[in-house]
Amino acid sequence: MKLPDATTHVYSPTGMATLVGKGVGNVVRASRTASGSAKAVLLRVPFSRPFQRAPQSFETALRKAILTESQRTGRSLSEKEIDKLATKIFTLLEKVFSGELGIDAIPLATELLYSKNALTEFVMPLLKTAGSFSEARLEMLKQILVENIELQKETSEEETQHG
Amino acid sequence: MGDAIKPRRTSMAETTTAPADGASAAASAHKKPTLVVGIDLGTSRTALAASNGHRMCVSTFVGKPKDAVSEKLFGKRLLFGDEALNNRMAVELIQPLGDGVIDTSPKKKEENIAAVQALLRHMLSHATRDGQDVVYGVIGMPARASVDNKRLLIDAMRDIFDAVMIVSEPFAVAYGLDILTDALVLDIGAGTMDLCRMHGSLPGEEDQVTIDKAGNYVDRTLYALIQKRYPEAQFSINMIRLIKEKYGYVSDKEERIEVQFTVDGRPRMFDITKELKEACLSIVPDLTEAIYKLIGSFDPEFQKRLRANVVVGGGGSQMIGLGTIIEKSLDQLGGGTVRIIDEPVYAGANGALKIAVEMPESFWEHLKD
Repeated sequence: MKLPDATTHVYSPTGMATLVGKGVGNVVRASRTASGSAKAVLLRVPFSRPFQRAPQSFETALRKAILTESQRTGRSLSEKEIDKLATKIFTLLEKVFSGELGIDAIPLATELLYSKNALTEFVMPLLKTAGSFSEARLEMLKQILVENIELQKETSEEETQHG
Repeated sequence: MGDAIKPRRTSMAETTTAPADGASAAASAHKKPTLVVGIDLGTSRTALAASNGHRMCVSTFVGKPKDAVSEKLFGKRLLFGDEALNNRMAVELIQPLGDGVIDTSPKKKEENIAAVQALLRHMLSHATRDGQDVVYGVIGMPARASVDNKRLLIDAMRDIFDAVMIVSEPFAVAYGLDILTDALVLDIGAGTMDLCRMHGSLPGEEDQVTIDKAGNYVDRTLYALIQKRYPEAQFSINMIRLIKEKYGYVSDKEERIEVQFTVDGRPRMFDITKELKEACLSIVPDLTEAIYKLIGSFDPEFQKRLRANVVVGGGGSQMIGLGTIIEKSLDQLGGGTVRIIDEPVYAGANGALKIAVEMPESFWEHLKD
């Protein structure tokens, strides 16, 4: 996965990205201004917790966030799946910052702006469509189906009994 | 049946139904397009969201013209939603749902079933191309609706949908908002308040609470309070409902709320600030008690996460200050964060639609007659 060294971009009202800085250990923030123009910024906000002195690379932070979220939600992702998801997120970000995609491509823009845990907030929706999370969703749908088949069966049986 | 279910991951919005005896080229040319819909069948309002983008919300009322004159006047045999409400002097008004389920009180059951069927047919007629679509539906019901109520609804929907599923209403809201884990969802409707805690799997009975005290209870309380204070005022329960929907609040705001009623036909202004707040607050103790119950009985390690993600939807969520008052009540448990969802009226229908869309085609096949 190729990662950017330039980490701060600002959207101009015309929608073109402008490079304004460099750095590592950053978080993505995105918003819309009151006038409706889109603004996306990769700010120099360190992911590192107080006990972590050294700043992390964007890749490390992204991988950690994915791992944390996948563990927290009980959906284990393999290394390969984490790689795939990280690449997906990164490609999405690249497209947004290059102007190919609008700011709407980044989910939960408002939450990103105000959340203290911005990366996790950002990763979560994408994680939901990755690897075993989809399997979990499918399992839920399967359970709904089973419950409804049971209901339908009972309804038909009752109907038969009542002639 | 577990292993028998082999899903195909296809987008329902774009699928077509396959012929039962295999796919010949000629048959596939005549495949009917599939329309999937999500429905929030509520006591007061019914919302529908369809995979073709169509959405509509109507008051859950059906009106039958009282006689041949009114039938000729309206030019139809049934009136729906607000049209029925607004012409209630000329129609026999039917509210088929009570406490979130089909009202099965004696003498009314058949009439109410027919009314629900007619209402949903009416709503679907706006979304489908007549007879050209295969229609699959997911309908939200109160979290703790009885098995009998669910069966009744499934039976009633048999002739309307090609296949139909029923889900818990707050679960549909949660699914639609993608909050399937570490969240407590409250759906405050007219007939019931439904609570559901989400923890990454399909919520069971122990994860859900239904309270039969909701918007309608507030209306009745407000009606009684105003009647007690201003016995001379003339008003109807429908007027009270509209006032609640417009001004309902539970906050400490100072602003006076005055409404116009008539006294012997003459209009007069009445201050109902105190009564309105008291009525709106009347459902809060039951709500907080249910919240305590669901959080308190959850795994202690995860209670904090649940408190930090309380989501409120349904028409009742629009009462000013409700979020704050729930947050205050959470202080007793160590504090929490409450979020009122953006689109309370359609949240249930949107969630049901999402379930319907993501349901693999092969799953629907199991439910076809």
